Amino acid sequence: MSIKFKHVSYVYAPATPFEQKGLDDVSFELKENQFIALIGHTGSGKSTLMQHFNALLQPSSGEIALAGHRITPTTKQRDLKTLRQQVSLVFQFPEAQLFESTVLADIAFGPKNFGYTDAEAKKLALKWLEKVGLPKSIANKSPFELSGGQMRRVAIAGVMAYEPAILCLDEPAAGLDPKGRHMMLELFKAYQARGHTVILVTHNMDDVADYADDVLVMEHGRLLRHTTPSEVFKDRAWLLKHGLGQPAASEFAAQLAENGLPLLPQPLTLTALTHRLVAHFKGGE
Amino acid sequence: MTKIIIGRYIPGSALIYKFDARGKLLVTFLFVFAIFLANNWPTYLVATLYTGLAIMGTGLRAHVFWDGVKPMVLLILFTSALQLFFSTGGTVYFHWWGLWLTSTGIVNAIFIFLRFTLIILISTVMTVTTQPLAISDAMEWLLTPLKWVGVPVAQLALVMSIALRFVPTLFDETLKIMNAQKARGADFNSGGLIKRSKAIAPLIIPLFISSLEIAVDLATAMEARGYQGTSGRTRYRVLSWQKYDLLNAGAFVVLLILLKVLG
Amino acid sequence: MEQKDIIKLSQVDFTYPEAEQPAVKALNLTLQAGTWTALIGHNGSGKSTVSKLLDGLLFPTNPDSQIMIAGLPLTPETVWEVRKHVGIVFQNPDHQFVGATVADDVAFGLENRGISRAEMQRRIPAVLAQVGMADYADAEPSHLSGGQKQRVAIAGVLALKPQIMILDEATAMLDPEGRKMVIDIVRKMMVQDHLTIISITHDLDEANLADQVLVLDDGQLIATGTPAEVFQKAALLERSGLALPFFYQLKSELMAQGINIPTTITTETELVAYLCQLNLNM
Repeated sequence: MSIKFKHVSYVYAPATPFEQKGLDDVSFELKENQFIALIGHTGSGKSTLMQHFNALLQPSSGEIALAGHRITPTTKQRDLKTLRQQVSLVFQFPEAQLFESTVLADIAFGPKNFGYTDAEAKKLALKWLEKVGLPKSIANKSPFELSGGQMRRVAIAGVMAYEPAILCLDEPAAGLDPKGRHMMLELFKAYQARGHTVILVTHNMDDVADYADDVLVMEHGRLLRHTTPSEVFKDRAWLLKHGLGQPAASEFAAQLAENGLPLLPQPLTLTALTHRLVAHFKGGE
Repeated sequence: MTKIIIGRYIPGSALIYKFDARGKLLVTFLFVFAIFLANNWPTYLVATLYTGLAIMGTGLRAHVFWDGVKPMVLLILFTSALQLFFSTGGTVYFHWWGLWLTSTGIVNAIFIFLRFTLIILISTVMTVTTQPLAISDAMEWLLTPLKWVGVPVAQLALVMSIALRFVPTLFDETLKIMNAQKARGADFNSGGLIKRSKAIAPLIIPLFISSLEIAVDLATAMEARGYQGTSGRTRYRVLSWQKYDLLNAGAFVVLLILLKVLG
Repeated sequence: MEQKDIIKLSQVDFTYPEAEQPAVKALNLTLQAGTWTALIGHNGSGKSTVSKLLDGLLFPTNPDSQIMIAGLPLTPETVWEVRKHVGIVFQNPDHQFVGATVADDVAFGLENRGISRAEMQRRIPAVLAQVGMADYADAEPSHLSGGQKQRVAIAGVLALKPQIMILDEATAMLDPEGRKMVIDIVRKMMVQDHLTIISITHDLDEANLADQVLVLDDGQLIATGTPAEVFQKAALLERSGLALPFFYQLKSELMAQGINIPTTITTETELVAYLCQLNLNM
């Protein structure tokens, strides 16, 4: 099983003066149960691509195969409900989607829509409330009494509670403090490790280096590259040309190399960088 | 990604676009009264010509104006039909119970049809060639006399322009929330009336909360930027009369004179 | 240039109505004119409350609290006078954009202060050019990126020629490109107009560029000093939900693994030079 895009294009507002290409002949194949980073500039087509994973947008041409579904321009929306259960999407600032009178009811909303009984949904909701690091005591509070960071977690619990096989997240840690950000990413990494696919849309190259197995790079609606983090961060000139950053550790290593201290292979993370420096200066591995 | 058009404004640079919004709004307003001066074939011909020239002056394709008339078609036809069958006078072609088909009826029906259609066309000319913001400014100018009886015209105008400004923001927000709930399995498009109206809660509640949040943030930002009510404020955006506006006024005066002379 | 105290807070307390805990407790603070101060702290540490207190959007709940801004005591009577000296750029780019177009938005603050139209026509293009938005004067907000909207908000502040500019998490919702551009512009304007900058943020690399860093936790200042001084307190920062900028993380990791780094090294460039020198001496 894999996630397969075959020549997928998407056009916004077709046949109007406002027509705009969102995706342009995108083809790739992703392995399941991996942590995949989707990077690129604002407006590069990342969000458009993301909304194709669960068919909120359907391709204008081309074909998508994932989670046992085939999506073409003519696939009927009503045939996609089971797809939505298997492929879940978390938008930027997802706290905006909260609406129920209690935290628990809000988390249970998704599971109930996907056919769990009230009791099952409630059980799942309680489980995920704790998994995202919130105390059980807030279960019966109104979500609107919580702090911004807590609301974010409730919203994410609400999307993970039906345990989708594929979880797509658009900048889920935006606006969180460093600790909150770290906790959130660890949560997704752990979810992936338990046999799910995680697709993370991000601008943060350190997160790509720290967590991703596979990287998709978008530009102007086209797939620029599909490769591993170490490959994508290897070529500094290429990254600069496409306006992409490097992880801080690679940036630092590049400065060292410029000043006569090359470290190979290139470190992507703080741990790798320290490790290599220590090995270099202390000799031992 | 979403670039929706507020109101019916269609960007362009033809002659009518150069007219001041106040002039256009005023002429549109007065045209509604002027058309009542038309009462015979020559006057209706003049009014139709005037409207035709205005449409040509927009440089836009005809279907834009058809779109303006379309929603009103039934109403216009119904009113015309009333005239057609209930007017008496002239030669009687047909008579059955209270229904008459007379020469006067036919002429009246055509006149009514023209009157309505021309009014809609002229207001379409105004709305497609004038930005909503300029219309709002022009309204403020037209309402100026109300200031003397204590109506807070400047505040109303500010409210209107801010409301216009936030239409695309709220539209995007709606789309985003709708997508987020769809991703959680919400279904907005099937089931009966009750199911559908229930399904709307996950959309309406977050939207209401978002709007409140925007309102609070906006109020704070406005206060931080020194907003203390409209007294003592100066204005950056000022409408100014240009030579083109003489053309607008001239054409309308000629129309009035012809309607009066021929009527 | 002579450094004068432009902001002075003594014993400032603030509790939100219906809140059990105060949001700001016994805050004492002195900031000098023309400097960049970063105010950091985890979500809900009281950072944004401080920015609102500095602009009189909120008032201290303790009658003994004192706030002096640009030589004026901040009270409900002087608030409009004080606001002439303080500009704020808020977090959400869309929620603070009042005007229908870029130029109208910059004009909003000027209109509120009764500036003449002729003067507005001079100032608006000038400030838009300073933030690199001159070509967008007639653009509508829905056609701008978040970073562009924030630059317009900065132009709106600059047009009023304040002495103090507060960035209230102004870069939190931007992509790295937009963030860098905003910071670069503010830095340039700080020097050019001798502005005092207070940046409320949890971007620690951004805080590392400041002259002074203040760490807020539960409404109290728990550390103040230069970035080098504050970021030495790794344990303290971690306890209050923050982390270290990359440079300090690397430095402490290397030290922990036995590579000795002199305390005189306080920037990334210095560390690169030091390590390369070490390499040559091997």
